[in-house]
Amino acid sequence: MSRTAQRALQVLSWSAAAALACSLAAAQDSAPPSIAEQLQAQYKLAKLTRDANGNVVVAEGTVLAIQKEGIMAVPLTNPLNPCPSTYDRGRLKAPAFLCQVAAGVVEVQPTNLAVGQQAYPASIAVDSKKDMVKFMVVACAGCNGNDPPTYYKATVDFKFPKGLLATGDASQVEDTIGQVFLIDTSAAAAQGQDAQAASAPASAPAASAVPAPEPVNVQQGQTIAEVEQALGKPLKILTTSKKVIYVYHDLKVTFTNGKVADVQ
Amino acid sequence: MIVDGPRKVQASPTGPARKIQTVQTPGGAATVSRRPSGGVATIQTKGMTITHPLRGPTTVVAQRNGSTIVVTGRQGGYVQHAYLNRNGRSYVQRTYVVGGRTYVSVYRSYSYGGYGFYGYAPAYYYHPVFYGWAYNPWGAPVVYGPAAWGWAGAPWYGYYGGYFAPYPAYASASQWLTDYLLAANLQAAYAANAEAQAAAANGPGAPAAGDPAATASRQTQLSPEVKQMIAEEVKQQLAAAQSSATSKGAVPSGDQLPDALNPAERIFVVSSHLDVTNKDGKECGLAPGDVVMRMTDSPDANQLVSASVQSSKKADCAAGQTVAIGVQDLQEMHNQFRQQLDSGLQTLAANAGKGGLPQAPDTTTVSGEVPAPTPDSTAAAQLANTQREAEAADHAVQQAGSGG
Repeated sequence: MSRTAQRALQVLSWSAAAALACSLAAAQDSAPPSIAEQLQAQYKLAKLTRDANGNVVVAEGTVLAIQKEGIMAVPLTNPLNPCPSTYDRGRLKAPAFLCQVAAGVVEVQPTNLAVGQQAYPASIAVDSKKDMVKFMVVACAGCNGNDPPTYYKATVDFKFPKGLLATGDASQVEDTIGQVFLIDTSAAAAQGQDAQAASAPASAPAASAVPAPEPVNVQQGQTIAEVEQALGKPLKILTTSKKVIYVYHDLKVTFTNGKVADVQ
Repeated sequence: MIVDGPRKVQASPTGPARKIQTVQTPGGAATVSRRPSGGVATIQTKGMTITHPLRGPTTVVAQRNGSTIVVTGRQGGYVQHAYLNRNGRSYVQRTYVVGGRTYVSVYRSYSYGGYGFYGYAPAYYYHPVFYGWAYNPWGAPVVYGPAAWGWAGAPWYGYYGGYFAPYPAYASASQWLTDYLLAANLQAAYAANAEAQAAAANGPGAPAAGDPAATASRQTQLSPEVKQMIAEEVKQQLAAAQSSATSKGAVPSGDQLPDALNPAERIFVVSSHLDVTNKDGKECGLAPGDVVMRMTDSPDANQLVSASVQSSKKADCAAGQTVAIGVQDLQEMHNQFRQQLDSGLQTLAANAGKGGLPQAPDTTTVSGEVPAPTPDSTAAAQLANTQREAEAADHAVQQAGSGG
């Protein structure tokens, strides 16, 4: 793994850890949860690790679908955090020019995330004094058909009306974030719908019942074809010299010599 | 436009017969399942499932931006989303909007056998002595009539007069709470039926509301024996709440048996309209206020268990029938039971010493597992939007089905 990639991971890991530490510090059992704590529950952060070959592996978090044009992203391997776009009262503004100059964005090959592209949250920081939520994502390049996978990172600063972040009501905050980064449950929902349509369960979904996850039926020794038959195509495929890893929503299947060796 | 014809007919014992079609509508493709009669049972489109039960209002379950939105007709529904993670446990919050009233509840999420479950997590507990007072017999029976309850003259009370008879006197709080629970569910059933009838206009359905005499004559009364079983379940939950209050809400983490499958809990009061199948594969409906007893402890491959209908209203599954019920549905009944019990305890604490009710000991509360959340301020709007989307999808499917 290159030193720049290592530094990039350190920066992102620090950001995520700092955001989490801020949340946990505020989280006393008897205390009402902060907005930060509620956002941490709603958005599962991606984890950035390295595989045996030193390649950057992004363990997926909550899948987000980009909803707005103009979010500038830089390669994940860039040691600097990306200049933030700003989302205020329904409008997305490009990063400040000075920030771009200071960061030397021309040299780091920025790109714009496309509407519909998938991404994972990498860090979330709430600044109540500035009425702002800083939201960093890692673009899920593997989810968009890129081979080999390439990762980008981008940050959007969400501005909120004065005092909103102190109310404890996270719903408006999540709605606003959803206007740019919409939680995408389409893949899981599609699987659930297909299963339901095929099996026509005896009881119609109760109005009060929340759909429960379908059982996973994958065993050690199964072939790649068998797993694809059971679970469908993965969200992404990570390949190393010895292993092939199929990444599904909330599930990771590792194949060695074409057979299931591990399921997480 | 119907893209393909009926491609699958499923028979019992795993479920009722259904014809599955893919229908192309202006809003996108929809998967439609129909009953053998041709009536639409469910529509699935764009992350949304619309269910037309045999009885009761149309319900909609939609996934939107990480939230689950459940619409139960025009009466309301709830919006659920992640709340917080604490002590290795995850909690979700539900903001209910029912009849213009908004309230919020918390559920702990956990797993069992590879399936996810939600368990009601009280926002507060009473002092243990209060639960003891509610559990044990009162010094003398208390007469607390329909006028004291506020039911006298209420349309639902007359409508279900043949089914539900309050205790003439209450020997304990558990009996008082039993009537409180049943009344809450019957009020919900009445409101839902009224809405469904209004929607169906002159279509087949329950007897017309407002004709209690005619209805009462056709109801089989909820027997004292079944009411006693509910009262025993109330006592069991009071004991559990007292234990939780004593242990400061300590709860296990990791896999745990859901209350729906707890061998010690077999009686469930139905809290929402639900279609089930009997052992012959025929569908029938259950409605709030019906009572079922779980007969098996282990779910089958479809996460169904057998249950015996202990008591039901005229148009619902007949008492004595054995039906297959989803474990998730039973868990939801249990959660509602716990919520209604807390609501009843709150009412009891507020009215102790009044209207003939005995004085209660310490009615102060301490916080539960997690603090009470702030209600979702966008819930009402989300429910209204989802209702509109569902009506549009429903209309489009009907149009496509008729060749329009």
